[in-house]
Amino acid sequence: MLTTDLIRVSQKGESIEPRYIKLDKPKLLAKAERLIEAYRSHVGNPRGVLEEELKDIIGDGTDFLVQRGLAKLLADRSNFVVISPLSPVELRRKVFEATAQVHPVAQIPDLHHQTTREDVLRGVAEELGVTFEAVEASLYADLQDAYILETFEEIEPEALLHRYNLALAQAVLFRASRMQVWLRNPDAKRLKQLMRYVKFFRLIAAAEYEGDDVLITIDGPMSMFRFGQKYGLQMASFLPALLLCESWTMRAELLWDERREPRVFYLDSDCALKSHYPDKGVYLTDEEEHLRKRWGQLKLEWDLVPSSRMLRMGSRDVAVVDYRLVHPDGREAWLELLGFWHRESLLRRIEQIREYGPSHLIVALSSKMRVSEDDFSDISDQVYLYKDVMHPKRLAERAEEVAQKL
Amino acid sequence: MQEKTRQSVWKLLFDGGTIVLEAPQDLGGATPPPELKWDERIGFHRARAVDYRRIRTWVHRLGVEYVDEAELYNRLELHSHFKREPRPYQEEGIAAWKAAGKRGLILLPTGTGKSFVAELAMMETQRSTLIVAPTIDLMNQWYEILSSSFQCAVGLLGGGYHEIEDLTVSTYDSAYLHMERLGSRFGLIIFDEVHHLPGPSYMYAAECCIAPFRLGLTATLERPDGRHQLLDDVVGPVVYHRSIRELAGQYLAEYDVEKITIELDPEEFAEYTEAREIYRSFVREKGIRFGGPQGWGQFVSVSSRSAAGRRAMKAYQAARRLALSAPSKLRDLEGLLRQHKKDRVIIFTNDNDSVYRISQRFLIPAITHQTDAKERKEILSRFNEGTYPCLVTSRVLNEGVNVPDVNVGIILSGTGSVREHVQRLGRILRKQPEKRAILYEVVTANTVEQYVSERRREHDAYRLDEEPEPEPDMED
Repeated sequence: MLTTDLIRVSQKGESIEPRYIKLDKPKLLAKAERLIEAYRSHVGNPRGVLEEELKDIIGDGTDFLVQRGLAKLLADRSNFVVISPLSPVELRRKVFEATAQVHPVAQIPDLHHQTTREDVLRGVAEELGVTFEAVEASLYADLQDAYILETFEEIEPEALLHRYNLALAQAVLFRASRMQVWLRNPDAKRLKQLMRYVKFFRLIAAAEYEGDDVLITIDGPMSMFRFGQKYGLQMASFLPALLLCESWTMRAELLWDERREPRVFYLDSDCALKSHYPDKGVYLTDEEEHLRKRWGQLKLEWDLVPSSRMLRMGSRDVAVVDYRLVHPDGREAWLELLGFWHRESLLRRIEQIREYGPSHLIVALSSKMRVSEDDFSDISDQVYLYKDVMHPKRLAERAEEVAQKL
Repeated sequence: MQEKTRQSVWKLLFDGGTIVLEAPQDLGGATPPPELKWDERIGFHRARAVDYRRIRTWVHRLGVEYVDEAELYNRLELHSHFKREPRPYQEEGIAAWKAAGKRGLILLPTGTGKSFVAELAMMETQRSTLIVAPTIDLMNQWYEILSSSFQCAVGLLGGGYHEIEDLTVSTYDSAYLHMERLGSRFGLIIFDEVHHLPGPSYMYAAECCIAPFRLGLTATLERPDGRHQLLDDVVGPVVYHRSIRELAGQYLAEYDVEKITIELDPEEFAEYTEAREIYRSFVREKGIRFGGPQGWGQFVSVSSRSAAGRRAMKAYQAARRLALSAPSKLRDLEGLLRQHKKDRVIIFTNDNDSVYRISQRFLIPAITHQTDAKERKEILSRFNEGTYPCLVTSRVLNEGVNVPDVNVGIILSGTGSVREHVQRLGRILRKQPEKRAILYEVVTANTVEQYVSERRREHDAYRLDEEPEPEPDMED
């Protein structure tokens, strides 16, 4: 994460643009390599020594902000610990006790004050059977500058520059009060993944549809009461999840500077930023592929139309509909495929359908999932429990039962 | 996006620092209180968690069937293991707070037992309690007070700890970060040094918690930005106030202030002047004006854009360091320590580097924000017993920390914030029989620091020699 003092942006009118670094500049790659090498070579050394070398590498040139930013990202990959020949806390206790007898220790001894600092430390060293130098070195070995760089998680120079650009965009989002994302014809699986991240980062997403496109407005529970940057950090953490999507445009509203002036930040799927979050992809499960194939082969009255419609399930959850079952007479039933969910999550979804769910929603789940008919006997028309494969005819029968004209 | 709900039983939920009322949109025809707002995003009504008390009362009086899944705090049976009689002003403060519905602010000078007031409030309320303090040191201090007083497990949130108990102590930073998850776990929330709360971020700590009972404690409410008025909404009004002048002499020690002006060594002074000149000529050249509120921010941002600016910033820092903790100051400090070697002495200095320089030079214990909680506790208790005669500390002890009977304070350097110095003073003003406290202020001649010191004296607390105004109700 880049701290406020490390941000580099330019302002064009209302818009804030991160000053991304070019990834193919040999000079910058060399600097990145030098900084990485500094961390690598100082494993085992005190933090203060590393910081001194970093100062030398970075210098006071005008691009010091970029380099300090790179160094900060490397510090985030490092682990610092206390390593000392004597326990600093115990040593200090001994030294302070010894000093109390002769306080205050003199700089230059005179008739009334004969004991100097060195006298006390030598006395303690002798008592412990160690050298004077060991005592001096250990007395404050637990201060931050004396921490030892224990481990450093390696990274390639080019990957570090990628991380830097991402961190720069994230640092701008720290100041975001709200984020809007246009997704063009999104895939249901993409949207599900995105909504999982929204939930994980404790944000709220509201969706509006325009044909196959969806506009998602993202902020947090408190946003409707106080306009602020409270969710900036969460939105910044959310950004790599958005980067996993295919075709999108993002607009974030910012409160900029101490004056908190309104600004905007734009980003879209053509940007060169790279996500480091795991991507579940959009592949079809065998069950789903089979369902699509069989549906095409059978001449059913109901059409199976891929969908990515979001449905509120109470105040805290969202479901994404995978398919709409559409009848020529205008009736529709919606289908959500519950994949390999935990039993708890499945039971929660069933409870949500009972409590809030639209009555034309069908959820399909495999009987491998340790859920039995007893768990949903009261809404059995909305839950399709299948063995091995989903049968189009069964689904069409259910659609007949629950479908509505929308 | 919202479809019709099938539910008939209303439900109150805690959601990320807010309260959600899962109920039909028309609320069965009832008129909601103004705090409860329709949230289009989720298709239910929502209110800030701080308004929980009002919303719950309203739902309850409607007579509808409802479940409250928001309230997750417990009833307690707290007994203090110390039998202490509250002082009259502590009793009056708590009575006023109770009369105001267990909401509001109690203003008492530092050193008059605000923590005991908090304990009284906890015993009055008997609900899971969160105490929020401005620093990790104060958080640790509260931890010690609560665990010894109530003899029960006390949780910590902040400073690397994340242990939640029915009594938990947190920093403002951690409370802000975690309240959206923990805000339903406490029925009473106490803000220590509550004047910190009205910052734009920290306010969320108060707003995102459902605690129906709230207490704010501080010595001085004034904030230059005037935002202390926001406290009425999230903690309550001022229910009780006693000033340092009303309580001095009766509960606080008398004290003298002695200002010592020292000269820098010729080399130090030359170095200071040179650094200062580099910095000032840069500021002149760029036309930066420090009169306005944006001056400092402007300097920071302009100086980061060029090599000359970077040098100016380094020069500024060097000049400041020299003025605040020059070697010649350490010599004067030795003189003062010799004079007071039979006294209990606390040395305050502004920056951690100076604290450790002094600790290393005189081999006396140091307390800063880096000091581990256990060692801090040990140092303070040994200082209390007299095992350690002297202690050096930076601004982390600034507010409210209960340092035992000290009769000599030395401010070796400091900033100009009035509040900070009142509270620093408060600490060495504990009432002791036959004791007159001394506060030394060591200032460097002909530096900017002198100006800071002049400003510091403008506060009320430095005018104790004037006749205090009579306050009849204090005699009762």
